[in-house]
Amino acid sequence: MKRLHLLLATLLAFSMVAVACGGSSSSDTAEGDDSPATTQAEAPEEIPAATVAEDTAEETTTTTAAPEEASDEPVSGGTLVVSTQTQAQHFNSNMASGTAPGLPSAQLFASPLKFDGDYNPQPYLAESWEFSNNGLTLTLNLVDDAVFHDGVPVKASDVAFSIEMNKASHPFSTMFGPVESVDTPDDTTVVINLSQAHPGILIAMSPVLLPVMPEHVYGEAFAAGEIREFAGNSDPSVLVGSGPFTLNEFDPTNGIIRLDRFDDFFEGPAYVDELVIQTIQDPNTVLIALENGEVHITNMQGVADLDRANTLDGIAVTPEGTEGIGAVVSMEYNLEDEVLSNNDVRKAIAYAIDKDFILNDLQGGLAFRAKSPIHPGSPFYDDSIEGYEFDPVKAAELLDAAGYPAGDDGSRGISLTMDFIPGVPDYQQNLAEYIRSALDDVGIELEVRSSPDIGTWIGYLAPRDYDLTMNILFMWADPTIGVHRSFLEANIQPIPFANNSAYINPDLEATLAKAGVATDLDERKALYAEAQATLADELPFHWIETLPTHSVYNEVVQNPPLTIWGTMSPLNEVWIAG
Amino acid sequence: MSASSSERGKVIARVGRVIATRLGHAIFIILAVIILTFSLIHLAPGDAAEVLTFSQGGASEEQLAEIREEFNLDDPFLSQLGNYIIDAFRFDFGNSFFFQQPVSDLVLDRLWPTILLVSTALGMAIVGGVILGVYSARRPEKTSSHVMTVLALFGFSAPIFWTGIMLLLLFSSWLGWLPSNGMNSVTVGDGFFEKSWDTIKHLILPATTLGFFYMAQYSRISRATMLEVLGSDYVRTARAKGLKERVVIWKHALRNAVIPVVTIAGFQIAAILSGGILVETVFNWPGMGRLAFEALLRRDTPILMGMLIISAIIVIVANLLTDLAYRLIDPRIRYKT
Repeated sequence: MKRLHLLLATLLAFSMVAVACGGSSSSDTAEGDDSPATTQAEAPEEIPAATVAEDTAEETTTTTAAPEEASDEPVSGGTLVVSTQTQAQHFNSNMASGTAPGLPSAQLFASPLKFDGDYNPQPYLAESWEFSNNGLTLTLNLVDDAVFHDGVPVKASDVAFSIEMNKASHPFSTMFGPVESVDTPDDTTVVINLSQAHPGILIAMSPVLLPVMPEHVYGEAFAAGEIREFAGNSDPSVLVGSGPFTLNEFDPTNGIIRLDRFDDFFEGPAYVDELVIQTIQDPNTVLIALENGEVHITNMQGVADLDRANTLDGIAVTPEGTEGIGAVVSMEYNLEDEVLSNNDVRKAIAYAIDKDFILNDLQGGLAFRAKSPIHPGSPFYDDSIEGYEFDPVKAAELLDAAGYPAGDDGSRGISLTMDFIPGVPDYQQNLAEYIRSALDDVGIELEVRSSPDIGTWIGYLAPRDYDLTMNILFMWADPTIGVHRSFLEANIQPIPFANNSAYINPDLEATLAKAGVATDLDERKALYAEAQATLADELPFHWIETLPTHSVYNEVVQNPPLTIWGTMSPLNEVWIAG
Repeated sequence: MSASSSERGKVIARVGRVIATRLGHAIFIILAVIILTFSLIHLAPGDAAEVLTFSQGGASEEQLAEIREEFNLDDPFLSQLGNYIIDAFRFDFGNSFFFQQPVSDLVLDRLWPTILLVSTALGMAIVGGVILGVYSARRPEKTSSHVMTVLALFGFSAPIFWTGIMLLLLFSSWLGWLPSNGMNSVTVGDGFFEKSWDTIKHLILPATTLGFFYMAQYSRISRATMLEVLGSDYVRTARAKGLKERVVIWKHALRNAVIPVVTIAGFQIAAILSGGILVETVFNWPGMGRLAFEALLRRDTPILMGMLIISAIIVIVANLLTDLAYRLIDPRIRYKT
């Protein structure tokens, strides 16, 4: 039947090319105008102010404004289309992180907690939670009316099972590493016993990091060690979730994930009837689809794409909704290299790079300065540390002092290579090319080495077959999850996202360990400030900027997801204006 | 009668020899494609296990080892290559690292959209190019002919992806007439006519983008050959017999003028498939080109290898058919062989 469609389409296409352009695109929009508009008794959260582009050529800052003609009354119905550039293989975020599985997983599965835009935990499956005085026990009190998609109640044992699966399967072992045991005295109480205080565990209970999965469906495969191959990770006929949407269709080859509203969701049914997650690689196509209403929400990083989005009527652009991932762009030093093992050389390189030029000219003002591995949006970021502002004279002095004086031709006899992550030119290759030029000005010869694909770049990074490399590291909302891993001696391994600089500092490790278990927020901030100061002084990386990721959405979208997790948070309270 | 049968038999024997020779060449070409591509992919640093786990925030050494064992990535290179060649000649291209599905299923799933796109684009290019070429050749000094020449040069020079983005901006963004991406709208129903019409609307822009480039080429070729044919003796004879100009042009002259276009179109199948990669990426068209592009980024070696082998087979078969068709159409080629 499918081929018959295509055959007929082929034949018709030849004869109808000239006349077929007259159709309105309205039928192609995904708003689902046919759905009856009904008012929900339960109002959504306050609609966050959207940032709307100013139509100016040079002014790239965004201003806040409420969408025009936005109705205050939520409307049910329609299809919400979210576009992503990365294709999911499965929807089990207990096995892997990343936006690809995270976006659908957060819709299919609820979690104990969710977070607002200021890193504050909010009730979700857990209506309340409490740490013991010594921080070694966390008690969750679950709602009593949550059910899985098959109608079976969500019980405390399912939360315990999900934590067990996550601890055994997820690459971020620090999330639930300190969990010694989980007790479930009754169906709505979960008592998590920790080997050490672990305040970061609250963030680890976000929808994108801890989907609560039914033990009666996934338990057997997990016990048999076959959870990675289990069909329930992606097959609509097997997958049973706990979230606001059910899985209707997964078509990985065409990049379509189709989800339906789950009417028995414990927070009430989602406003939209259907949620479609569509993979589109080309950002130009995404922008046009956003304009047309074929796509409603996406995330973008490309400078030129965001510049164009800023000029489009009816399209809102905001850096909100991306803080949780906390991506920081940096230049990583291989400390096993003889030249780069010298701290003065690393500092000289840092001084030779004009961060203002990078932020304002290369990135068009769309990225923020980042001086440490902790994202500037995090409460633990310390902006007072040394940022190595552009000072080529100081760079030259440091190189002289390090034993690399300039020759007659200005060259200092230092020859290095610079790698970068391929496929993301705006904040990798362009930066690498600029740094080559900047280092040339202080007498350092830098060869920029291109990799044809990610595999090649990892092939240089993991075994430390590099001198300098551009990198992007993700914090995942809490430093214990995405920051510590880069500085632990035990994590010097030939794998990506480990301690690939081969940086060793036992004092720093001790500070990080203390910060990871500090239950007092101020104490924790102080410890991370101390760690950031140490890192800024020793420079195993030179941190440059945040990834200029922005949430971009059509203004028909009401109550857009602008929490720290953005589209990786449940979209049940998003609705589409008529 | 017997002389005619004898002649036919000789022709069949000649065609058979041509096919057998080409098939022999094809096996060596495919073998060379496999060895060369497999070797080049394995020469690059890193491996598929690291790429697979990259998008998931990394993995432990144990998890990487499990993946490598699952896909036999730790086997010696010659062993991997030998096993692949044996499997490939049994049409078993293995499983995709990323999709965890047989490559043959994935490619077949993407084959029809690509055939639809390429055949529509090729049809538009040939028909449009020939019509424009003939029109331009009939009055070569008129302004309209010069305009067509400039348009053809523009179409030939403009990068395919740029043309695609411009068409998207015009017809999808500004005018809002046509959808911007995919093969069907996410909200289209399952009705036969509704879905077919939806597919046609989605097909217009990518097919026009791909077809425009080749239409420009074919219009130039058909213009040149038409100019040559229109000055030949048999056309002059046809006109002297009092035939209408329409009949002279479209019945007598065109048959000869179109042969080079058809021949070149056949030999350009590989180039059109390559162009399809760009068009499918820009328009998010779910064809083989997009699959190849994504596989390249993900170091999904089985898909890449399978796509290259299948593309090589398509090109070899297309060239063979074009060659045979050319021999059948042009008697001079047939009798010289």
